[in-house]
Amino acid sequence: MVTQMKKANKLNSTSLIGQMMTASFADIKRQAAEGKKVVWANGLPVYVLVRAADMPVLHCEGLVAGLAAKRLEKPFQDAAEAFGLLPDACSYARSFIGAAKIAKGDYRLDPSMNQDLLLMPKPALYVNSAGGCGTGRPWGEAMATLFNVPVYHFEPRFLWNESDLKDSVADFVRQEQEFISLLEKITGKPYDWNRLKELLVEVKRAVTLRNEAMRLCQHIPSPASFFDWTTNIAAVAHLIGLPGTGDLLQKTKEEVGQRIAQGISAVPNEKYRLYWDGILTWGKIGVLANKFAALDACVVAGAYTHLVWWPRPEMIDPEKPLESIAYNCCDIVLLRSYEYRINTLADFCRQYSIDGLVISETQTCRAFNSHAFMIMDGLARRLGIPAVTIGGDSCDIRFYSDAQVDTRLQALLETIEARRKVRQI
Amino acid sequence: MSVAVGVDIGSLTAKTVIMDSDSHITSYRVIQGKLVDEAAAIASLNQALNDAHLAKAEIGFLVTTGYGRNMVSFGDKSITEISCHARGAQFLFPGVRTVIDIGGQDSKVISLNGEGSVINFAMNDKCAAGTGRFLEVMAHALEVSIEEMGALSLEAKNPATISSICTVFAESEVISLTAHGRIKLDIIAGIHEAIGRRMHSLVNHVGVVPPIVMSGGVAKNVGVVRVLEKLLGTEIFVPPEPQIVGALGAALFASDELKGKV
Amino acid sequence: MPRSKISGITDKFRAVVDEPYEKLKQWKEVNKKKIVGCSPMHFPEELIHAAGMLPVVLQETDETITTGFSYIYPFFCGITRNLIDIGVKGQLGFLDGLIYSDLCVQNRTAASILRQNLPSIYVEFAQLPSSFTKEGVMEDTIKELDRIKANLEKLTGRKIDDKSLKQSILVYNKNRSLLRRLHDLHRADPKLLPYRDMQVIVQSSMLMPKEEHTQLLEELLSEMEGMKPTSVKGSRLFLSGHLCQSPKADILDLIEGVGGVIVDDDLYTGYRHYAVDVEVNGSPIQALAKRHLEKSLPVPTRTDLPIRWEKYLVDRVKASKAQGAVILVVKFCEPHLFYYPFIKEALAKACIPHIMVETEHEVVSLEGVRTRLQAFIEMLR
Repeated sequence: MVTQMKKANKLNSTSLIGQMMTASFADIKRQAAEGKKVVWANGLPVYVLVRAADMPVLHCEGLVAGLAAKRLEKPFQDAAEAFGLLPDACSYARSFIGAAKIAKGDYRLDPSMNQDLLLMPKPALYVNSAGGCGTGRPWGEAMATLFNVPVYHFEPRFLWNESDLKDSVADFVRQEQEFISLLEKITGKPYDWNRLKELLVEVKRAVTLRNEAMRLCQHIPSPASFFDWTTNIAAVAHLIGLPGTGDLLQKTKEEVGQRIAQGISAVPNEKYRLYWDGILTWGKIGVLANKFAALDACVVAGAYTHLVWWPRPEMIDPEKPLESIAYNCCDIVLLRSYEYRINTLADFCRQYSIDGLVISETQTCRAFNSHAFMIMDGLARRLGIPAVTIGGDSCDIRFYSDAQVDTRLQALLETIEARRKVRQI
Repeated sequence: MSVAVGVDIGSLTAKTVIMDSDSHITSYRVIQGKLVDEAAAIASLNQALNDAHLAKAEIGFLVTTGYGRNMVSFGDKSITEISCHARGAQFLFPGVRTVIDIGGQDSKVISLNGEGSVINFAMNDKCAAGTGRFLEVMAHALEVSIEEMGALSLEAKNPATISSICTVFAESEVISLTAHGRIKLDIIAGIHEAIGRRMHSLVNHVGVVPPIVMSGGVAKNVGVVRVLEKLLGTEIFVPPEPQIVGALGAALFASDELKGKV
Repeated sequence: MPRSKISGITDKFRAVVDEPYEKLKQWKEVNKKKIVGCSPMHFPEELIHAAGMLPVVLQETDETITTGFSYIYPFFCGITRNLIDIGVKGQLGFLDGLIYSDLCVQNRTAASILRQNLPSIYVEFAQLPSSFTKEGVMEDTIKELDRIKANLEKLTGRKIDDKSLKQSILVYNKNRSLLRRLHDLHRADPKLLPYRDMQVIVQSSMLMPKEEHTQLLEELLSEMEGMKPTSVKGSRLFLSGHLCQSPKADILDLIEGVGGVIVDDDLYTGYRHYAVDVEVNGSPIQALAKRHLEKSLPVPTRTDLPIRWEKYLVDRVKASKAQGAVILVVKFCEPHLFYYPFIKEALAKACIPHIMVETEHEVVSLEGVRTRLQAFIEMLR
């Protein structure tokens, strides 16, 4: 029986994100009501190009993860299953397609359900910028077919060799240019390049602050955890370029700095420092944060937060907006094969003093966990760091089992302890 | 006298229905058996014949159905349980449009058109979640008899949430909930809601069109029926003997053969 | 009797497909030629053939996955897991090169894992454009083909000139035309060959020298031409789906065993593979690029399709006069999963009954599949 559970010491500044998200969805609906054309998008934040054209953007991961964190995502998944999508398919994609069916009126929402968040205005354009997962292709095509609107597919290249990055960026810039021509056609107006540059100044500020704040977690004990960084991930994903994100991240960095100065840590009694690979089960974010805290384990960094959303803030030059965005969409972990993944992970383990690795299975996503076992093996060989996999998914809570997570987590920590004892001898 | 016989050889039970030439059910039997048990099938047949004071020679045509329909040594024809459940439900409730069958280890949803023909169906035969087996495992974990489960679930005031789709995972959730002090009634209610959600998902593949009939052993569980009624937003009809619907359908197909309707 | 002659020739095709990698290893020892494997669906084998090497389109085998479990999660598709499994077990060691072309994330994963675990083999990733219409796709396709060509030249030590590439295109076009002829004969008389044998014939074309396959095919076709068609009793079915990998013989036998008669298909190891030829005029590299961009059948792994798969499928099913469609979905094949709801809707709108059967690498729950297929046939009557 569990007596007094230690709880995660969440960042205060993170609590603002919920309101900002809700306000952003309300704002999209308001703008749609005023006659503005809406864009739906999934994946990497190249949709910041759309914001410069003064069109509201509904970002899949932002909407679906946000709802899943509040356990409100089920109607989307029910709508998707009624349409014929099997639960094996990516739950982000499925849920967004479910949202589309609801938006079209093909699937009726129970009147008792939250229409504010579940009923979204239909788009005039769909943008697929999935990074590295081919799922975006049939997903984008499905959306285009459902709404009978154009779709633009951004295809950042798979980097088979690291030397391919430069060509990949050039190719991505070309795609951005083609996309901007499409935006001009849809809006009937010339593209506002000045606005884009202004946005990128804000973006640079926001993502630089975030990355600096995340890096402060190299401090032992860590002032914040992966659960904080996933809770406010929307600041650099769905909300990027919108007013207030820079200030939120400024507050966050300050709070993290203060905690270090005052000796406050994310986990009250940090004994273990862990790295998280894969996405997490959004519906269990609070449960997971507390679970790790209760075991004196701090997840100090993770792939989803550190290696996917704006990993190259130093490459942002507002005078070169397209290249800036291109670097940040092309240089991500999901577009890499094994060598890069293990090398990057090993670097993180050294920088953040990692004791163990948690791989969240994310059962409907085959992009993140593709190399899970080789990574576990490689890390054990190179740095003697143990790893464990836990079941789950991004937004389909049916794949998660609490009891299983507890067992595996305890096994990981016991392994870390055992290795520490060996090293002492 | 030449009778039509239907034998449903399921995973946990064997059922026989005998019908006379006026399409009346003369007798029926349900026998518990081992996994796909020919002996149980034969026992159900013999006992049903006995009940009706009939000899084997009076069997005019015999149709087998169910998981073991091709694995027994007797029978004139085999027809799937999808067609048979639809036919049986249609006989008991003319005008039925959706049949939900939850058996020992599989579940199915069958959609009929206005003329009583099968137009679509969905089956879950890959895992035990939401089936009789699932209920058995849970009843065992909670030390409650399977017959009591349904009624108990209706008494709960605060059903627990069991989110896993896998029986094994769900079982570990139940154990965890018990360890954390959740009361039995709430957990039982949670189990029934989990079954309801699973079936709702299956029903969505095919589409809900009332009137709905439930068949199979789990239809005797009043808790599952209530949960489904709530989820589907419509009344569900349960025949007095839901387990024999498949065998009844098989007997009706046998009857067609005798009347030369085929 | 003509039919026993047919089965004699079919046995020769089957010999190539049973334990294919062991056979290829032996073939290499005897013929002393280099072998380059490529992943299914998009890569033009003609390029490898023109380099004087044997192109092989990798097939899923029946081997139970063992070691592979330590390399890849079970929620990846069958062919991905199978190739990784046999790759790490050393069965692909006979290859001199391996070219994976962009298809889906599982394909990329297999490429990466195999490159890591087969260090002595030249493993390449061909990033042919997935879009049919984006700016610059023709130039990009040609550029990528040229790049691969240059690497193949390095591998083989000899130049691939336009003449040899044209020659290879002719060889492949000839083989495809014969397979189309076989397809037409089977359409007209579905009882000509059990469907599992149709699969074997197509698969074997991907596992042996095209010229030899062509020779055997010509033998087979000469036996078949002029045969009296047998009467077809059973429900006429169209078989759709199953990208990349061939459906297991068990499933095909099941379909036919419950009274289904397969009259047409759009499988990869079926019509998709030989439906379209490469142009023989002009630049051969450009012709290969054209085939990739203009002539490809609608495929869910790509974007900006000129025609949706479900529309194409409804037209094909109607043309085949099938009573129903069997949609074979490889479990975890996301490209297919995202098209299935549209296919379901389009078939329903066209009043074409269908059944969706999910398949896995491990042949499981055959009884369940049998029941469903039998119920489907009962429904059609």
